[in-house]
Parts: sequence; C-alpha cells; structure tokens
Amino acid sequence: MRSLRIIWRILKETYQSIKFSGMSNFMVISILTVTLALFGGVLQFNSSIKQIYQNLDNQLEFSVYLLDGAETKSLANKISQIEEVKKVDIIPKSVAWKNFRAKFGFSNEAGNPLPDTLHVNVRKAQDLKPVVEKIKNYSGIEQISYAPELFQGLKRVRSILFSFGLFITLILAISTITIISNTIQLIIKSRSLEIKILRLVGVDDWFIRGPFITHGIFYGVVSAFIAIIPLLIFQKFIWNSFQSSFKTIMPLTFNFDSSNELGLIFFIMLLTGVTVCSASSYMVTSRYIKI
Amino acid sequence: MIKFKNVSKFYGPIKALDNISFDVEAGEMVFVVGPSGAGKSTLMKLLYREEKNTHGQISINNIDVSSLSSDKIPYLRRRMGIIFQDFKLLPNKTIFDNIAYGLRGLGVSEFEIQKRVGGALNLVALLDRANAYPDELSGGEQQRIGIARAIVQGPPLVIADEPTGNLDPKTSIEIFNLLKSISLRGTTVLVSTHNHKIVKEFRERVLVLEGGKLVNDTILNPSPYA
Repeated sequence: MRSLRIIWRILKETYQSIKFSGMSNFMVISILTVTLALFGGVLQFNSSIKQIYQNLDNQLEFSVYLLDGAETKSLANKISQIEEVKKVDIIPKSVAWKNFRAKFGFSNEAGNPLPDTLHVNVRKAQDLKPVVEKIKNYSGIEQISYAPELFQGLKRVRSILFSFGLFITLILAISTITIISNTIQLIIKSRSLEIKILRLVGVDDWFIRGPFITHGIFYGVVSAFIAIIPLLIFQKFIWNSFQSSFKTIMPLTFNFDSSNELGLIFFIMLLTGVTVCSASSYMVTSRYIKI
Repeated sequence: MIKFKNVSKFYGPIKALDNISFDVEAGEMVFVVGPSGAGKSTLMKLLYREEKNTHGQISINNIDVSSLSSDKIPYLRRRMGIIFQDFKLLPNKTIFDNIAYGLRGLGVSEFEIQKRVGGALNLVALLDRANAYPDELSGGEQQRIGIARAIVQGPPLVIADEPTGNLDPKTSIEIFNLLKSISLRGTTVLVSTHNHKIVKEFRERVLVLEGGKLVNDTILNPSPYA
C-alpha cells in the first residue's frame, strides 16, 4: 500500500514537473519527434528495401524491350519454345504507352518513345537468369530488364541512404540528449528547495529522482507516438502508390504488407525514446542531486 | 544519544572543527554557541550527514554516522527533525502542505498526515493558519511552522541551526521556549546560536565553540529546583 502511494505521488510530482517546464516540453518533444521519425524512417526504408530484395529474388518474370522493326510475334514464339519458359505476353508499344500516360499523366505531343515489350514468365525462379542469358543474343532485342539487375542498383541506393539517415539520426540524438539534460537540470535547479526538504526529512533517493526520470519517459512516449504518424502516412499513401507505379514499369508481382514491420518499428522507436530520455534524466539527477 | 569523539572537519586547508569530543544524553537540551565561523553549522551538518567528518567518530543512538553509507542516510534523517535559520518553507504551498510535503514523500497515508500535521500545528499554536501561505505569516510564525515540520514525524532528536538568526529578541525567546517545551516531552534538542544573551536566560547546557575548538561545556545558571 505504501509503495502504491509513493508511486502515485511520484506521478503527481511528474505532472507538476511537466507543468512547470512549460514551453521547454514543446521544444524537447519537437526535436525528439523529428529524431525518432527519422530513425523510424531509416528502419522503415531498410525494411522495405529488404522486402523488395526478397520479392525480386523470387521473381518469375522479366521484360524484353524490342528494337523498332523487330519481328515481335516471331521473337515471342522463339522464346516460348525454350523449355524453361512458361508463358510469353506481347505488350504492343501503343498499349504500354497508353498505360504509362494514364499512370503518370504524360501528354501525347512528343510521340510514343516506348518499344514493343515481351513479358516472359519462367517456370522456376532459378531459371530466370539462364533464360535471360540465352535470349539476350537474339536479334531485335534492345534491352532486357530483370530483377537481379535492379537488385544491384537498389543495394547501392540503400547503402547510401541508410548510412546518411543513421548519421543525421545520430546528430539529432546527441542534440536531443543535450536538450533533455538541460531541461531536467533547469527543473532541478528551480526545485532545489523542495529537493533539499525531501532529502533532509529522509525521503528515499528514488522518490526524489523518480519524477525527473518519469518526466524523461513521458518525453520518450509522447514523441514516439507523434513520430509514428508520418511513417503511417508514408506507409498508407506514398509506399502503396510507389508499389503500383513500379508495377507499371516492371512486370513484378509485389506481395508484401509491412504493417507488421511498422508495429515492430514503432516498438523500437518507443523503446529507444524511453531509454534515451530516462537515461539522460538519470544521468542529470545523479550529477545534480546530492543525497 | 549523541557521541562526538575527537571529531575534526577540514575544508581543504581550513580546519572548521578541531578535535571535538562531547556526549549528549537523551532528552537533553543543549545550546551550541559561538561567533560566526566558530564551526556551529558544521557541527550540525555533521549530525545529519550533510557533511562528513574528516577525523574522529560521531554516533547517534549507537549508529556510527561517520561511516554510514549514502543509501542509509535517509533512515538516519527520518529519526531527526531539522530546523533552519531561513525556515526553508515552500512559498507556493500552504502551511499544511509544507508540513505534509515530506510525509507524502515517505508514503504516509493522507489520514495519518491529517492527524500528524494537525498535532504538530496544535503544538506550535498555529492550527488556525493551516491554509495560509508562508508569506502571510510573520517571521516568528514561519519559524514555528519550521519547528512543526521538524517534529511532525515525532523524532527523538531535533537539530536547530541558528533558528532565531532572522528573528527579533522577543520572538527568539518564544522560539527557544517552544524548543524547550519539545525537549520537556523527551526529545533531545540541539540548538546552535550566536546569541549568548538569550541563552543565559535558559538554564541549559551550553557548548561554546571558538575557532573550531570546543572551549567550554557547562550548564549556565542551574535552576535551584532542578
């Protein structure tokens, strides 16, 4: 019962401390939210790219772009004769251009730059590369677009963006720790008389430090909940739209839903926010509150 | 109750207390007098472990204060009440909440707090000012609140560090009388003051400090009825 009363009073003291901090709360939560959103964004980006890898690795389709004047039908027949090929679809340039314009809103003034395209399906994922190797020397073929080729490009982009994102997150995290430490330090200084009275009547150390640490935890929790909003928006609108746009360019069958991943990312953001903030508060109280 | 054995305290090269030894019995009222810088406040701070002695041994109720680990200090302080020259009242809290503040931190129930704070306010004759704020009270009344806060836990020892330093002589005598009445209830009271004149009016034991040394330990004007 006594412990429950003390916990309740720590929460009340935390409320007082938050109320006292005023605009400082806004500042800390803003910068922490940006930091966590960026951190979560890096994790989300990494997770999405990872899923794309897995999907690309399992692709059974590739596109063959033909030169102008190539014998589309005879080439399609020739490819479909290959044992590992399951099916060949012909996408005439007029159809491809129509779909492309519908998706990206291009005008028709410049004329149709797209070639006739063949969408080739193989029976097994491991057949894809040998089939591509076999047909790339056929005459009338301009270019072959297939997953492993894209894979290499994505790998480079991922590596650069991931490192950059983590670097910016680290800088923001250091700023956040500094701001939290200064805020808590100011509160400790302004409440020094209360702290002194509590110390001298023999109140336990953790009751004195507790409200400052829970104040830090409050920052971490609130910021994590706000920071997940832009990631949810990105997930729901931008990422889904990107997937459907991608399908227009390449005959890939994406089949992933990263909502579970987002749950995990939120948990990591929450844990990181709470850990960083409570640890900063603890360090400040250890330094400035003498028992 | 209190034992000081060859206690010294240094602040760097400065010797604040020099080889002090004395005992205080339970229920005794003792004045610690001396000019500014004599070491009175240092002696008080050593008792509640705000400072740690450099040499010697201090014990309270057979607890070795000198070697107490920091996690045990709160337990030591719960067994004593401390009164300050500047009252140390929280200006944004009512008198009641000022006295209750520490008790709440100790997890005492609200029912018990009502009972104890009421009792302490009654003892200092300020029960009717429970809902006032410190700045609505006179200096003497504020110090009585400081005393109420010190005794609200019913400690066996009260330490008052220059409790009348900011008060006029008439109010100072009232405060000393109040501390005397607390002592008569069985509480050991240790009071530091630089006011020799007022101390002489009380027939109590006086420790005289000068330059960090204990130069006299005597009972002034013993009462013929004692």
